[in-house]
Amino acid sequence: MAETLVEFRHVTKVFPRTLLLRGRSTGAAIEDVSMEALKGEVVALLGENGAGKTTLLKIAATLITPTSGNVYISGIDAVRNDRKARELVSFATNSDRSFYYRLDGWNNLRFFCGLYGMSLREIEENIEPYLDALSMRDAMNIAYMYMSTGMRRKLALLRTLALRKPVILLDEPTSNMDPRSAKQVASIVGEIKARGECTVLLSTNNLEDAELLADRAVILKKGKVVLSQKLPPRENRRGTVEIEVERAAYVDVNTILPGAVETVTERGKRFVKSSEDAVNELNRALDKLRAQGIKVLSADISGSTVQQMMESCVVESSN
Amino acid sequence: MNRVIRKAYIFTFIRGLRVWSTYKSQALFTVLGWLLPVFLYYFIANYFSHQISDAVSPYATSYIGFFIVGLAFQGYVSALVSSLSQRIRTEEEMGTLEHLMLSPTSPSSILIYTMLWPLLLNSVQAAAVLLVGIYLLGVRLHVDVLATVILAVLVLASNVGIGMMAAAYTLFAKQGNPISLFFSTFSVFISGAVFPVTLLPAAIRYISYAIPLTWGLVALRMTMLQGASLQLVSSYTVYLAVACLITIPLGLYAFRRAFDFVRRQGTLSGY
Repeated sequence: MAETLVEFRHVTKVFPRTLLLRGRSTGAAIEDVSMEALKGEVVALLGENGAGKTTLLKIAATLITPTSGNVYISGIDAVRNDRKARELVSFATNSDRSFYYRLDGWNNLRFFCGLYGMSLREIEENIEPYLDALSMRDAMNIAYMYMSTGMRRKLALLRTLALRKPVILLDEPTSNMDPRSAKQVASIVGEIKARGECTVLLSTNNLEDAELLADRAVILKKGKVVLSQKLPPRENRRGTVEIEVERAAYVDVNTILPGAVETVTERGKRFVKSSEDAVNELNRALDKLRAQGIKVLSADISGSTVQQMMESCVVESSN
Repeated sequence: MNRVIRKAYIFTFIRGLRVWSTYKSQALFTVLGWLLPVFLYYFIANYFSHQISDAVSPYATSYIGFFIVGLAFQGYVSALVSSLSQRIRTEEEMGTLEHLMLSPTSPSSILIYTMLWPLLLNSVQAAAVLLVGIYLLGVRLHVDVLATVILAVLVLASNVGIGMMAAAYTLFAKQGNPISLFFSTFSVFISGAVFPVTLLPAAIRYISYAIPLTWGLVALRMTMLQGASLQLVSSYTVYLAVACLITIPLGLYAFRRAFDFVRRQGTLSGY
């Protein structure tokens, strides 16, 4: 059985309303959260703004102490032995303000990784595989204040990767990134996952990222875990298959996509089907269409497993 | 050991010197900031030489020698106390404090490494003030090197804990730091840096006697202007050593408590 690297046991965090009125509180930011993340697992933390995703990550990083409950990082009590726990954690926060503005990328990494005792050579070795993938090789020589928002996010990710810690906390790592960069980041997280040596806790509002990368999705609402579910293997996840072909093409719907509903669009004909095995069903349909020489105008899967989980949570809580 | 040197290097030369040197006019104005008070007090010395000379005679042969030693070492202490709290404030505003504290380097070690750059910079200041005193204003030093070095280390060490308390206060309250104000800005007047504390009203004089810097400056003037040996200033060294034993553990404790407090409040990233 895989080792548990992060464990929250009945964690509650109540923030005071102000520094002076310590007795009064704003209500629980996190309430009785229990969950764990195993070695080699990517856990997506999902939820609306203010649901408690970032607070939970900061508690795991020991930057915030829980009001009650326990947090364990690789078995170490992170509340009582915070310094030891910090040795195992790296954290890419979602803040732009996390580097020295007047230092370039290299010197920033040299400083922040130096806090962990790392030499420049170790840093270079650890991030070398990612510099081109993230298009950051040239940007590393630019002062942080001149970097674009996307570059800043990538530098934060590089700092996390350079540290090579068993617990990686990523707070909305693809926010403010162009689609290509976001894909690169997703592929790097996929690589980390494939190596099976780390646990990644990924807070995101990007359901595609969660769908693509996560082994498990934990949905938070007002500080509580409302759903924690292992995601089925990507190849057989639920979704709505949509295929659009030329209007003139003859398609036997019972052969290509049995049970699909056919509609006429401006460009051609669209076939829509809700499926429990969306990816495989779409691939099979595309193979058959290609074999028949039918031109496909578009093909997509919408309403992914994660999206449906999110929607079901919203429906349940409103009832 | 390697790790300690590496950390000392990144704090001093990467974050300290490199960032400092990116501000083009900073070097010029920093040096002016160091030297202008020297000339200011030089003119005061010329106008009020008669009145002041009597008051400083127990401590120094001339008023210029008196305030040169005072300014050189008061600058150190002021830098230690105010720079730590200012650094914490800057890190809070820049958002880098969370990432400093996220590392396994302990908060107290971070504070100690943080002191290195202001100490280095203020060593240059102290040297510049002393050189101006010697070569431009004609101060004649008669130094007992061993006693001076030991006293200088004790004066600095006895203020390290106060600097940590000031940093703890900034971590806790973010703005408005009475410790820093008192020990950094106000100490110019009450520690006897530029005029003897005997000129102060009695009530304030008692406060000034409670400050380690006051005694440190008296002893440093003895070892730097009159060549007094370690034996002659032994009572001052004992006082300063006791001050170190009280203030350093207190400073470390205060900072750790403040760190735990902001983690409970969730305000480590706040400013």
